[in-house]
Amino acid sequence: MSVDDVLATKMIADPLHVADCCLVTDAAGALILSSTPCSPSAAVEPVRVAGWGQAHEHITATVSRDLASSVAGTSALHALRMSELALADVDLLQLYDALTSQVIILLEDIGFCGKGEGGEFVSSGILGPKGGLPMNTPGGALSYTHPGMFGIFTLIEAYRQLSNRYFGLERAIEGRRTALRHAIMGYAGGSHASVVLTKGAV
Amino acid sequence: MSVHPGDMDEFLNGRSLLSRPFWAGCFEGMLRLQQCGRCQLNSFVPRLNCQHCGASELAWTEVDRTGSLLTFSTVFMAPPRFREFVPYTVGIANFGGAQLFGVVAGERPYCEGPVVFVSGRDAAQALGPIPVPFGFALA
Repeated sequence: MSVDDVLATKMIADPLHVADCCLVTDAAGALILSSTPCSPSAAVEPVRVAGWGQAHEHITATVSRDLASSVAGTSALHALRMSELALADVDLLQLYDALTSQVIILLEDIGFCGKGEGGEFVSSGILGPKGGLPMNTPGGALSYTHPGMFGIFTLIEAYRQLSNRYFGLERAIEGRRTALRHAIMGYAGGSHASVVLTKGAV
Repeated sequence: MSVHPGDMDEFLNGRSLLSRPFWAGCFEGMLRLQQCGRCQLNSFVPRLNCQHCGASELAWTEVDRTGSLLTFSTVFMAPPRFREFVPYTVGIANFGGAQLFGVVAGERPYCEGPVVFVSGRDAAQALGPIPVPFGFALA
């Protein structure tokens, strides 16, 4: 879709058009965590939960100090510190993209680009499947689902990519070692949770 | 259903005990917020502890009904009850350091522009037919 295509869709609440908003559906997801390295087959590599973090701010949009910024950076920093990794090590990104504006705000607040530079950063193509930082490789909530709890899908996709689940398929992103998934919850994104997943056993 | 009934008891019916002073003020066209005895800042929505410093010394106080519009959005796709009123504008405004969410009435709102908290008998005249107990009119 082009920018013009998005702007041509019906307005929901100014400035967000239909195509700026996620697709609301029913959906479900699950993960199994194990304290011992295990894989269903030799072709599927284990993935390690290297670190996690969370941060919370306002309880409702009304008391938000600034709707264009969030505590996503604090949450991601906790996860990266526990992982003993830096933001520059992240080579796969799964973001909770309920709205297009949210993607830009989260990218900026986590620190992938400066505040106000998110639009340019996204336009550069870096987040595409062949870019340096592939993001939301199944298409994201904007493309395929939003059951109200989209976060589980960011974890599932990060796992599937790192574990070679997509081996031989077009959607496989080769050579990725470190995934950051970041999810938000609460009204207007007051609560944040980040997880760093790395390829290979503990 | 009228949201601006002439009877205070009817207007307060179903409101929580904690929030009743706010709604009672609303009915009379006043803006009442909880002021903290420790940090002196105002909180909203009604609560037991100050949203700024956590102290439990909150007392209801009447606040200047003139505030500042922080942000706004014009809604084109609304929940069922409000569907017949689209497009309408909602926003968050600052009154005495506390932030309230409400319908914004008037032409060409802008961020940091002055708004007046309107409620009670004034609400229908200022806000039109949209069924809300209070809102913000562009000053």
